[in-house]
Amino acid sequence: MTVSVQIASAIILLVSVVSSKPALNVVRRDAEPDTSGHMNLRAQLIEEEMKLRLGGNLVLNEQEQMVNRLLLKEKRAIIERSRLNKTTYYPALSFYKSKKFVESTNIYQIIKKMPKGAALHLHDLAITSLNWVVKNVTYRDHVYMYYDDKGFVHLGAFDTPPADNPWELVKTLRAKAPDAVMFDKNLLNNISMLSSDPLEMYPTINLVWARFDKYFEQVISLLFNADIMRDYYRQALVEFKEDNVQYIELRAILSGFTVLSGTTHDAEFGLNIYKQVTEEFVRENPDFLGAKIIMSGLRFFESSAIKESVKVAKTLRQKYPHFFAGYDLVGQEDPNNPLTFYSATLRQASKELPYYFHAAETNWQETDVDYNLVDALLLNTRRIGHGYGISKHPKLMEIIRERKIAVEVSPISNQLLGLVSDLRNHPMASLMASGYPVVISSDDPGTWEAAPLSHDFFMAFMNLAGKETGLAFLKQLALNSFEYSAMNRSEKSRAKLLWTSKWNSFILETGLEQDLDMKMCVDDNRYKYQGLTCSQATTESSANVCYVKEVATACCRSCTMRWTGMLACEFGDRDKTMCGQDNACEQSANICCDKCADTRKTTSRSTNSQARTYDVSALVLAVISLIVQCCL
Amino acid sequence: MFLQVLLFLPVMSTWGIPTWYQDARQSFIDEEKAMRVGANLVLNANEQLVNNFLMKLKNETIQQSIWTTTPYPPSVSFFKSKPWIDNSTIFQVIKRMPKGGVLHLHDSAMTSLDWIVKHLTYAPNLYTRVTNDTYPRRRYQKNDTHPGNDWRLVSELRSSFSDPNDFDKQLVKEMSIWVEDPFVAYPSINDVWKKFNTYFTSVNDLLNNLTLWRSYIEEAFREFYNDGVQYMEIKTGTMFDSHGNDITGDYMEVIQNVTSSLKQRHPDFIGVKVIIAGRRSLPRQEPMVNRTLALMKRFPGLVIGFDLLQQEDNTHVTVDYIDDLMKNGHSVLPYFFHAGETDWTQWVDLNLVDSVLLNASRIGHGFAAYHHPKVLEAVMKKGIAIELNPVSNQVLGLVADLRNHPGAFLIANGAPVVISSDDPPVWFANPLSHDFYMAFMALGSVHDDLRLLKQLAMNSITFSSMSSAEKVDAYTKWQNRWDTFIHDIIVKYKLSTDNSVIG
Repeated sequence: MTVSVQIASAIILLVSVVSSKPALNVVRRDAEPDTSGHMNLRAQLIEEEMKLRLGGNLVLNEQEQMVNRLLLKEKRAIIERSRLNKTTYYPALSFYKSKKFVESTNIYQIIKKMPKGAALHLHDLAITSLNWVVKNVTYRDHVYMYYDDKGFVHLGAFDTPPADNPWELVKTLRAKAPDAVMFDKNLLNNISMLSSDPLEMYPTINLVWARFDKYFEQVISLLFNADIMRDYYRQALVEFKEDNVQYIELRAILSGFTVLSGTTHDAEFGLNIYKQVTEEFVRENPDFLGAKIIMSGLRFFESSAIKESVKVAKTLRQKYPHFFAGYDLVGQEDPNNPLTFYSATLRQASKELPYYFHAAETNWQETDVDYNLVDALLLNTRRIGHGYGISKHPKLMEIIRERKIAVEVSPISNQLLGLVSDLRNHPMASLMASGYPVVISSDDPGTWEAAPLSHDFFMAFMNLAGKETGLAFLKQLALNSFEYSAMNRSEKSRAKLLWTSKWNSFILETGLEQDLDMKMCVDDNRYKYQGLTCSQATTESSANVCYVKEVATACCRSCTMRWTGMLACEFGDRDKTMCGQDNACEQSANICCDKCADTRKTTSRSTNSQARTYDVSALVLAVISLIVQCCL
Repeated sequence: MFLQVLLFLPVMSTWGIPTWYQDARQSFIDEEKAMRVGANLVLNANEQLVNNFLMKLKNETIQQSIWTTTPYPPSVSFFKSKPWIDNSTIFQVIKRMPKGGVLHLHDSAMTSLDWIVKHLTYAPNLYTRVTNDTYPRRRYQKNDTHPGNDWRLVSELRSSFSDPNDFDKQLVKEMSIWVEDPFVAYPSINDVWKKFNTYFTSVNDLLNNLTLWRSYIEEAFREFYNDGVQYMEIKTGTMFDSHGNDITGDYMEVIQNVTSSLKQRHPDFIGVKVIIAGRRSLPRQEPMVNRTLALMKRFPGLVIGFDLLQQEDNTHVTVDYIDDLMKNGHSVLPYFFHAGETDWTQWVDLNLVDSVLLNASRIGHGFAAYHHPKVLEAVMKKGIAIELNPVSNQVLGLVADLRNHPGAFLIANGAPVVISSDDPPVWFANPLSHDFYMAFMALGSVHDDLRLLKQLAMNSITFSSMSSAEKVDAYTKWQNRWDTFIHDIIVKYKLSTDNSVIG
């Protein structure tokens, strides 16, 4: 190895194209002439790396740039404060310690309002706030509880509670308690993992997982009641929508729901609970896109049980192709069965059943569990849950980039469940620095009192991205969440349209709220384009009129609302009729830039970096001139 | 290391997995394995015996922490894990292993604190006082007359203890950054650095003349040699006597003399080279660069280049000194910059970019390198070795669980890396063995074996600043010791093919 490295050292690294752009963020004496070469190369290298980062290819319009500057200003201030005062950097601390600080920042408030797209990695029993569970569910009839020998509360809903444990009605106990408010508070603290600092309370992974599993034991008898789950899930949708999430994909066990009489139901019954609630919710909230279910088997099941559950999953997938997205295996990976253990069954079903496997949620390198990554990829997984170990697998990283298999990253979960302490050490930061396909999710926010998605987005922004990485990163994460979702093509394009208009109003509203000196652009009321007013002319299906300079200028606001942010595809396909044809992408991929986004991406990757740099800068110029004409 | 995989393949095929699946799986795994540091080495029969022995122990430690709530030593603070590590057989083996050279080491933090206290604080007329700060700073001063009110004679203080050893133990503890609970004592990286800096104040007070330096250096080289280190590249500043005269040249001569006398006593000691280091708190580096140039001329083969040190997070970045570091568009000196010893991204870590562009010979720490795809590309292509100091990075607050150390990523990619120890006595680490232990147990994968350790030792020679001829000589000296080591381990642990197969 060493010999080849040294031979390779003769190869000159840098492209000798000298860019004339000034260095970023460097305050220094004027360069003497003999160092200007260095400074140019430096600026060029830094810029190249900026482009490689997640979101590095997005172009921000003027309004977005204002919000970007606002975000970066505070981000830099928080980082600088830690540097100059030599104090703790709070965002990287244990979530237990950082939560209050996080919520006090302006960045968090902005992220909360930001339409974040989809949360793609969530678990059925840990998505709704515990506060709601305590204040709503435990106030119902038939809800019982008892304390186990370790002092943990277990909740359950029964007609008559089983005799195995000293179940008592919560209502009765609350009435007996000296202070009902205190009673509720204790109940919440008893269930929540955030009542103390998990990083200090549970110093090893196995200890913290024992506590985490305990959470599920505490609530399972309660939430597997069909009526309660209906409300619990509905409340989850309410909370996700309030947190400005437009769509979710939920890992759910599905089978085993009971009703008070004691009947236990099958997976299809369970699926229909989620389906009915989702449909009803979407009817009432047309700006929410819905949900899909990923059925989860458990990693400690016998292979015969997994075989059975895969069979059920296949049937459900056939019967509910739009709602039932696929299959996964859940539970702590380290001590349980690796995927290879079930791979005969899983492989046989892999043609009909899309997989969304958890893999390498571990700190170990090259254990069977780490190699779950290999099996997941061989079994054609659509995404990878956690994939914490993947940064140590250069070949697998190549594959996920090529095949566009996104890694679902849940920063707070990884921290609280003992994989990483300072979140800046999260290995996914390196994947994001190189623009690998990544989405941010929240795993089990209900367990540790996190917001549905905002806290995790905040952590990604402040810890997994660099000091100079701003709004484009967040926007790309939102875009990724649709791109890598289980939605089909038409669902995706609908989702993107809805999200785009939400995003653009978010930008405008943030500008107003934050009192930014935005040169707000407005529509010219007298202007008519082919007899239509600006808002009539620029509907979702006719956004391409904004490519006409005159329209972009006169209908500044309307066109801003149609801004997609895609490079060289700022207002979607350029010719709606032509792009409606099936073979459009072979003929005119550049005109049908939205429809053929996938094709275009593949080709651009295969061109060399020099050509790409040229290409990009020319387009950036074109876009900037458009913005200048449109918005100034 | 393939043994385990091979063992369960036949079992898997009974579960009905087709051969092509197994082949595809295995080829993924093999392809990645072939990229890892050490993958190209082939072990001879004796080495395999030692390897099997070592891997059995490693596997036991790992299995224990997977299946029980026992913490994995590298996953907790070194202050907690050190006693566990010291008691382990793996560590005993690594201690005896010839580890090649140590390439990232600061000259005022080389010798065990016990030695420093026992030999330097017993000087007559040595006064001391403690200045109040967040972390008390102990000052020393040798003086014929009493220097002032708050100064006390060390000898008096010591005699006030019923057992003078207790006093010495207290001094040792004060000098180190060791605490029971580092997360509580040092809530942030800046706190631990504040404490860390007090060590240098005390030690520089004690090492205030060349005679003392000479005995200190002698002890340091002895300790490193006994820890299996045959070659050292040490970082030093310039040295002044009490009248303000630059005596760095005399200091270099001391280093040369001590080295050659050690080589006489131990012909397999390879040698010592020196890197002159400027301080990042200063506004310019030109005087230091010029002094380094002069020293390189006066001591060719001994003084090899220039570095910049101090906590990177809150001092000058490399590019601030660009006018001093470059002349006529070229680097003035061979550089060995500390760069990217930080948790921040897109900021001080850009020192990495300057290191690459200034043609640095190696990169110190490079902790942030894996956030920089272009820097990594250069590191791989140009063969710029990254000096990893795992224990230092942990105790100085960059990373908690060492399995998250970015070095793991570099090793998986077969990047040019060397293992070093930075300032080992300040946290009671052995000269190099604890860092090698961490590389083996935390940065390497669960299957990385003796080949990783051997490659790391060889890398320390390959990426040193020795000339080709010196390297050839160094390899021979190291290889001889390596063969002896393998033989010794086989004898000591009575290894034979029968009882050392992986369980």
